[in-house]
Amino acid sequence: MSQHIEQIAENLYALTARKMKPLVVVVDKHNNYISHHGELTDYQLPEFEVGQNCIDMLPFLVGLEDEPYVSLPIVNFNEDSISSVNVIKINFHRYVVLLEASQEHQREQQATQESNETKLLYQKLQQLTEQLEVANNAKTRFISGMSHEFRTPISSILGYSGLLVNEFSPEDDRYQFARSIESNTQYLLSLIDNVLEHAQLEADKLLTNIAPFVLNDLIINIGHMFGSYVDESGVEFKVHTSDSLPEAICSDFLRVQQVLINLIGNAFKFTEKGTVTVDFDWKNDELIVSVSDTGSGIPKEYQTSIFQAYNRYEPDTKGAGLGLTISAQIADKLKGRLELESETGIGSTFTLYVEARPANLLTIKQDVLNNKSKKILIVEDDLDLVELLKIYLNELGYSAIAVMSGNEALQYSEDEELDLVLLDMQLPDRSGVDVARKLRSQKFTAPIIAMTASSNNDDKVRALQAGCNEFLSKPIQLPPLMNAINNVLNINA
Amino acid sequence: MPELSVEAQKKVDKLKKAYLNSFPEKLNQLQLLWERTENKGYLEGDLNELAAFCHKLAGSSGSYGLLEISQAARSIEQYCHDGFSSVGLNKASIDELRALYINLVKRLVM
Repeated sequence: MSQHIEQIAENLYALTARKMKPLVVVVDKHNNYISHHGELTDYQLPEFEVGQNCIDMLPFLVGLEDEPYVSLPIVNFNEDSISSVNVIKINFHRYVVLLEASQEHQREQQATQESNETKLLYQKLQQLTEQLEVANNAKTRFISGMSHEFRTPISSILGYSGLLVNEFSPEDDRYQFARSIESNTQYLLSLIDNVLEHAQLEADKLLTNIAPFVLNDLIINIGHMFGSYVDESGVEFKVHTSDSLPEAICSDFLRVQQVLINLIGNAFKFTEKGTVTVDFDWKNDELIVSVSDTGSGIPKEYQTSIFQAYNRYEPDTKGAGLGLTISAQIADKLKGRLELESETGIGSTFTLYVEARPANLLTIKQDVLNNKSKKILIVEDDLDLVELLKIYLNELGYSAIAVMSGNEALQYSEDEELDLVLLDMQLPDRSGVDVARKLRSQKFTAPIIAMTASSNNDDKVRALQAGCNEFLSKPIQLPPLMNAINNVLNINA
Repeated sequence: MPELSVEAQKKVDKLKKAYLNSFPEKLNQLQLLWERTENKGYLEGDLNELAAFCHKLAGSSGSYGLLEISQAARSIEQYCHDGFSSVGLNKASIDELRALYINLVKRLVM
């Protein structure tokens, strides 16, 4: 039995010895060599003579003479090997136990490195989580804010429509109910528009339309729009214009107007008494419009975040909290910027800068005049559409005549000089394709735009093959109509 | 995006009002067409006429921004043209067309 145990012990020792190369060097309290057990060469140590001072070879022993037990987990004997050293003092002897620790050390280092990497990943993950939380909070705030915003007008609409259909409601009040429904619906619509617009801006899909426009048109529009606010709120409304303003400029009329409506609307919303002032100025090829109010002002700490989406300085205010975000983004799209100066208790001034160039007013008028001399024939049997098309074409500056059948169209084009034909594809007497073919065989050279409610691609191909230059799908809407006409008449919008 | 001047918009609004006022008459026409189609057993000629009427209605109503009516009318037109040719005339396809017709009538009345 004991034999076995000895054998096991021996085997274990051999196993450890192979891996850990144990060496015990016994020294006295002056670090003089007494004896050793194990292989000195494992640690590149020379054979010592008894009484020889070992301090040169075992320098870590210095200063440890009186310590009863010292453990040095990592001792560098040379570049390749690392040992762990334990010094045990027993009476006057000190046992220096050396164990090979290179592998252990390597493993530890690897583990440390791995844990460092894990830590870095963890930090990254934490950062991402925080960012997501911020985004998610904004979203949650938005959804709860919006559902409240949507709920308010919807419950009004529900309430008023209930009253409207209630047979006991006095007849005189019904008009008022209907008006309330209308205004709430409009408010709801503008909310939705804002949200959609913001989404478009987020996706960077907002389109601008840079074209010359008369500045005075903008100024007059603004005046008209906010005239009614003045009566309602008792706040004064002033518009100043500088002498340096050009008559017309090239920019996006609707977008500039949209930003100003938002800024001025805000100014009225936050001003209880005093004045809202709009200043139009022109400096260094920039249109500068500042909107000042005598409202409560915005504290410094909110002045930067106020341009961020769904952030409102006054959380109880109506709206999606998107107006300023959209405005700032539009300003950016128009190569401009939106700035804010504000002092609590005194008021705020938002200033819109838009890079623009002065436009020649003559050329704008000339364009419309040029169109005036152009004559367009509408071939359409649906009277409901003819009138609408006439208004659209007149609005674009063209003169328009209408006929209701293919034969009339063929006759008319022989008698009259025409610049363009808008041709319906389903006429009572002939098909549009037939009319187009006949027109071309009569050497009719002006462009023809085919119109149809069909969404079929074959119909489109047939129309183009018959000699039409463009294809316009019904329902008829102004922008595609204008584009189609501009395309075939080679007008650069 | 071009926008109409105030005067032009007023004219369009007026036209739209007139257009809306023509709905009772249009509804009447539609009902006559439908009854004839139904009574004579869905003849191709009648279906074509119904489709043509709806084609026109789809174009005009949409142009005035009445997209639901436009869509409803277009569905009938498409069903007259494509629906019957693929499924053939049977109870299910007739019910389907009738449902589309009722849908359009509802939208014209509302």
